[in-house]
Amino acid sequence: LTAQDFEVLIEPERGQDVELEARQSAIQIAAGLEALPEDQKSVLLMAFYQEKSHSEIAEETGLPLGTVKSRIRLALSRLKVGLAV
Amino acid sequence: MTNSMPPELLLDYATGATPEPVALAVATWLDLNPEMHGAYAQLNSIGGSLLEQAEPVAVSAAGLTATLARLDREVQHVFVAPPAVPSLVPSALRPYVGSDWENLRWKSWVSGVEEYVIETRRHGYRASLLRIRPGKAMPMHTHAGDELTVVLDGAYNDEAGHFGRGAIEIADSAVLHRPIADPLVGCVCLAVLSAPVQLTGMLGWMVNPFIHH
Repeated sequence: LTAQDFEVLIEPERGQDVELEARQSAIQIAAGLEALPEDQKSVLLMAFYQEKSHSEIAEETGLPLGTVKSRIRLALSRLKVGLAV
Repeated sequence: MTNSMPPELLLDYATGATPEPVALAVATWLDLNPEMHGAYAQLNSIGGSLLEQAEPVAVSAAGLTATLARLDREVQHVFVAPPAVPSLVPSALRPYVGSDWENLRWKSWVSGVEEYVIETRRHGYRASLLRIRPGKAMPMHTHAGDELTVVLDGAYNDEAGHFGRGAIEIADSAVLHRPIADPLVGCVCLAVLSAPVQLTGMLGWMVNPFIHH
């Protein structure tokens, strides 16, 4: 039995956990979005509504790429999206 | 282990803004890091929450056409069920390379380094599997564009740290690096370049003409 066999065995349960976690965090995210500063929210709006990449957002708004990246990172950390940065 | 997915890249992927070769690298990374699926689901739910909170707006005819066109685009993030037979190839990669990389037609362009170029529909990128012999140092190189590397098996070290299975490294044109494959097991990785590699030094001068595309 190898590590991959275990991956196969535990995969379905992990899927259910992910779903439950997502539902709980959706509520948290909705509340967080309301409180988000406008500059951070507008970057998320451009990303999700216009499917713009972060570099396209920088081009279109004239903001430095670093500013767009930090707005995204700030927004995601305020929304408590569990990405270790 | 060094392993950091830039949040803005995962966001680009979640919204469908990444070109196919880059999406392939992110999807492969997600397959190899199931503990990140929760965070990825959270990221996706931001889109839904934004939509619920939005004020209704008038949509122009052109805007409607563009929206409908987007619906026809390829769906990228689908988590495929694991295969019946365990495979080292992450599921996102299987439609491109099959489930066993031993069967691929690898090409060697430097001793100890083999490459299998992955066909994608997007020009201007080079996506490939690289198989590096144990202990082999890659030629010193820089990139005109970004290079995304996802480790599929084994490990490598470079100036930025140690990268094992599931790790992702992003190197831009400012980075001059010299990856060295793990001395015991070597390394198999997925590399996606947004411009051809530029080798530096004598070896680079000899090899560069062959890797242009």
